[in-house]
Amino acid sequence: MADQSRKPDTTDLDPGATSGMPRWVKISLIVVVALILLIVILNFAGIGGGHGPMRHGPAPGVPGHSRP
Amino acid sequence: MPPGLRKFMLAVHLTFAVGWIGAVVTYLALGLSAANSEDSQVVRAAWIAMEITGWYAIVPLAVGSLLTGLVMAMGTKWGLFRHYWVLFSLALTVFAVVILVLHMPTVTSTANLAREADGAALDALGSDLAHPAIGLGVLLVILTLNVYKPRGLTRYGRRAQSRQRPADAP
Repeated sequence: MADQSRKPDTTDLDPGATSGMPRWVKISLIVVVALILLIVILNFAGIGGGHGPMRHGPAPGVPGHSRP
Repeated sequence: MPPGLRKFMLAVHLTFAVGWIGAVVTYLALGLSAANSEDSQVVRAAWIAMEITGWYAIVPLAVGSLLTGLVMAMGTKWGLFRHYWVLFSLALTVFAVVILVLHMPTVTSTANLAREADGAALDALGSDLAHPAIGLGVLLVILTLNVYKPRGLTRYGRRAQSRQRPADAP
């Protein structure tokens, strides 16, 4: 994750490193917020189904499913 | 961190991280088998294998990636909070590990159902494709950040750098 092929102390002295949040960070944050909003909307709309332990389970009484 | 130890930790971190990606690809392949097969034995075997792969490969590799990544960040001049690409990698990794650990009990429950069910009940189990597919996407984003290391110092990083410059001046 943090190897020395690009040394941080010398290559980050360009103006972009000192002038605030880079464009790629702003765009990434917008994308993340949009995805979170999408997930929240989908959850409220009931799309995607429940996320409980029985998410993949069959309905009770389905033939072939036995309980101990 | 001394150079020798740093290289060793980097090798360990890469082993965990790349292994995590490989294990998720394996899990996805098993999920596709469960989704597409009409053979009940294949579906049952796929779910049992998904549970084993999840708990014994994916979870340890994910936790190992996170921990070794923290060691690498804190033990080198990159730091944990100085560069945006490190911060994003950390946030995405924590997110992926949390979702993984929360999701695995569902996989265990379904694998237990698959062990006992047959016929229509087995068909009703479906598959698990969304979580590994999205997880793989997140891991590939993290990998891209780590290879390209896009520029950008955080406010904390700029302060740390300006504190360091007078100390480095001759």
